[in-house]
Amino acid sequence: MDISGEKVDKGVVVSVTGRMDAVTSPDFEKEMDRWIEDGEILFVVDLKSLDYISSSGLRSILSIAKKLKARKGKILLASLKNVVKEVFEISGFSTIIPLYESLDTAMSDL
Amino acid sequence: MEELNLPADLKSLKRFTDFIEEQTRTFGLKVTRIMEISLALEEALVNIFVHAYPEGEGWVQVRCGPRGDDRLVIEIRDGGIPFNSIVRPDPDTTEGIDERTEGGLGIFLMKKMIPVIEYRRENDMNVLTFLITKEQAEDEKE
Repeated sequence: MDISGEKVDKGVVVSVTGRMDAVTSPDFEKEMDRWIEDGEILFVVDLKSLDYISSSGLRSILSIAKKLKARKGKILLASLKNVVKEVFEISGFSTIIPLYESLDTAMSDL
Repeated sequence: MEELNLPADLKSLKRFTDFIEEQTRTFGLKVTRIMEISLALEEALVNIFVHAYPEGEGWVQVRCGPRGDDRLVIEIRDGGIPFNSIVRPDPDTTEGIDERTEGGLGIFLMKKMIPVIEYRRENDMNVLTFLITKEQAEDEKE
């Protein structure tokens, strides 16, 4: 899994590529925590190149979402595809984390 | 049946995943189905890594092979404490963000990805079996 973040004027855009599984999900949390410790609270996560997510990934995202909610922040997810989208829907996470078809539509809601 | 035996540790996950993805590719499944099976396997394995051996270290064996022309069998064995993951209750997927907790999500996803799944306890081992059917109309363009 590769993760990179970029500060833009509305908030932070984080791109995650590869797979979020039990081994790599903690790295996602660490990266997000770094931005949050810097005071950032508005995030769009671009998942167009995320091929796979397991329950570990969902747990990490939930943990970050709860943290941000407590700080009156937001995390929006963009461009979920295939199995990733399926996992979000089956788990019910699609109703608790805002999902967007594209980075642009997510950014306009930030 | 091909098999892979490794320590019941998160470090083993990638090798098990690579193994099953190779087997399912050879069997001729679509990429999305391969990802679903890989996910189910991860959930089963992580459950074993975390819970099966409270005293310390242990082992996991994954076996994979065809059954007839159109089915693939995946067996996951461990020598840990008796545990039937299939009968675990499902999490409430309608809960809001404040109520959602982590419990049961992995096993729930595993069961959703693998409609035909069995558990048995045999010779002091937990044996979890996934039965995968090759879809009738394979779309070659993925």
